[in-house]
Amino acid sequence: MPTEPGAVTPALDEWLTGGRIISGFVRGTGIEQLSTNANPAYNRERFEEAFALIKKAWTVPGPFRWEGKHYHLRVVNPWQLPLQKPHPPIWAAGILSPETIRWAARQRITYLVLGSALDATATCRDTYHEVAQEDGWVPTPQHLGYLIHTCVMDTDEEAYEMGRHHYGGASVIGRSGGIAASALTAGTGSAGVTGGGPHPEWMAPPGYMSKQAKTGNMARERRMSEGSYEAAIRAGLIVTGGPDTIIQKFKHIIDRTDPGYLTFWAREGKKPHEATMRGIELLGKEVIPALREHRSALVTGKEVTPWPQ
Amino acid sequence: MNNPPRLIEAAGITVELRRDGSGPPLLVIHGELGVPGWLESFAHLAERYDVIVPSLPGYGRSTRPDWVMGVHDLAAWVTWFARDLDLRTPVNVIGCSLGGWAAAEIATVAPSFFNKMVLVGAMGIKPEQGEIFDYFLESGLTGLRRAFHQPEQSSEFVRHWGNEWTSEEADLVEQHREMTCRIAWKPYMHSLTLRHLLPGIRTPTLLVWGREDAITPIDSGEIYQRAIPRSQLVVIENCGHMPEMEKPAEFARLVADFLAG
Repeated sequence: MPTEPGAVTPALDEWLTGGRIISGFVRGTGIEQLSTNANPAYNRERFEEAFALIKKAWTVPGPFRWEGKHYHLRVVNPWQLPLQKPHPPIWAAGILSPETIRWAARQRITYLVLGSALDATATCRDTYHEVAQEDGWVPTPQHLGYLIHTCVMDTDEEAYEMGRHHYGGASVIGRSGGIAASALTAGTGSAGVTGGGPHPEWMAPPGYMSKQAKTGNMARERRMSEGSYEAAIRAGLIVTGGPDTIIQKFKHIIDRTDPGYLTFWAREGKKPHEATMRGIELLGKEVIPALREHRSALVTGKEVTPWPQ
Repeated sequence: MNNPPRLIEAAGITVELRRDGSGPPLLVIHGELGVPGWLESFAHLAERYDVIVPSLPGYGRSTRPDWVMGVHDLAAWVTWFARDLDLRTPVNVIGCSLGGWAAAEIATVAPSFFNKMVLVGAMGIKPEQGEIFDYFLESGLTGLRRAFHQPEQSSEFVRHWGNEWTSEEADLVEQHREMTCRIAWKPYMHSLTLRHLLPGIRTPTLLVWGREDAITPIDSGEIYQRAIPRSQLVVIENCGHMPEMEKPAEFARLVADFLAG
């Protein structure tokens, strides 16, 4: 990773937007280790070193020299530095590697859960808070983001049927080509190819995932929710409903996980354009305003909003 | 065939060591699949030699130092290990696959370290015909099976990998894959310099290849043979990538004759 795209490009984008960029750091998926021929066994080491290097490039006046384990730069001296000081907000996105969650907590950056099941996300939040407590600080809701497959339509029935597009599409759910599903399938030694996705080994090449990430509690919770559209619905991997139903579902989700950032994955697969636009409209006009009023039960101490029957 | 390993402190790490027999020392440098136990071929050779089989760093129960990131690191570690064990040099060596590559690297820089060298299906040389099988694109089991011409006919394969794996066994296979990945990901399983250095080797060298080696093409063996002065290549019929496991008696006889000759 040269510092040019690593540190300068986000900074340049930030200038173009007048200092409104949120920076995001991801390890890359297993299969990307193959397509870029980057050694998966050193993926985490490289990720953490690259993060430290970029953060230093943003915050410490250059020129300085970087002689790390994986990166060796004679002169680091970005010509473009972020407008936001000391640096832009930093997020890390992940699926369920406990190492990444703990690392994000140690760095005190926002962890964005990418489309994971509700129970697994609640566990993730607990892990983040435990690490923060060990380090002597208390996270805010803004330290957790939650990206959820969402299908809102005018009626529950319509949303349920349209939500099928979120299952088995290009995304992470129910398809061996998906990010999380395949990595976990590969980790269990199952052949597991159920769709047209790539070879399961390619999603978890050697050393890319720790044993804990493959077999830990969150992985188990995730696996339990795979297998069918109905199971994915039950696990909260896909949230569907008419406005009233889906508002109640999201209140339940907020009550249990208290994310400062709720992100809706509102379009997937071959979902028709009109349905997509209607869903986005309902999200903007009805769902989001209702949720803005709602405070998490984790904060208020009130009862958790029940999941609608 | 039961010679349980023991753990010793050597060359900066904890080493899982299998050792048996009497006679001159014979060092075995195992390959990318690790060494699953005391093999039949080791037992044959132990009748005449003190057979010394360490699990390399990161393999078996040998601990993994973070600094072992390439075959040169591995090769340097092997020489350190031999010194820590007070092995009298020059020592005889068998290097299998990845271990053969490490042995060849040692021979290029330390001509007095080995007495005689046996390279078995050795990695390290990019073949001109065919490609080295990419273990990392397939499952651990696929790679192991492919390393044998007829896995079900091999008592060693059946004994070590033929039954359904326990989670510990599956973890060990994955651990070996990860360690091999750390060492030989890119360029995959070969060196860009080794081929040019082979003509400088002075160690008497026997190259052993299985005719049906589906991991390291036999062309690599022929390149080795042409490049290393006075080396000889012996091809074992009906045998895959691991003659030391698939044809233990024949392999042991070949090695013993070569070392005695």
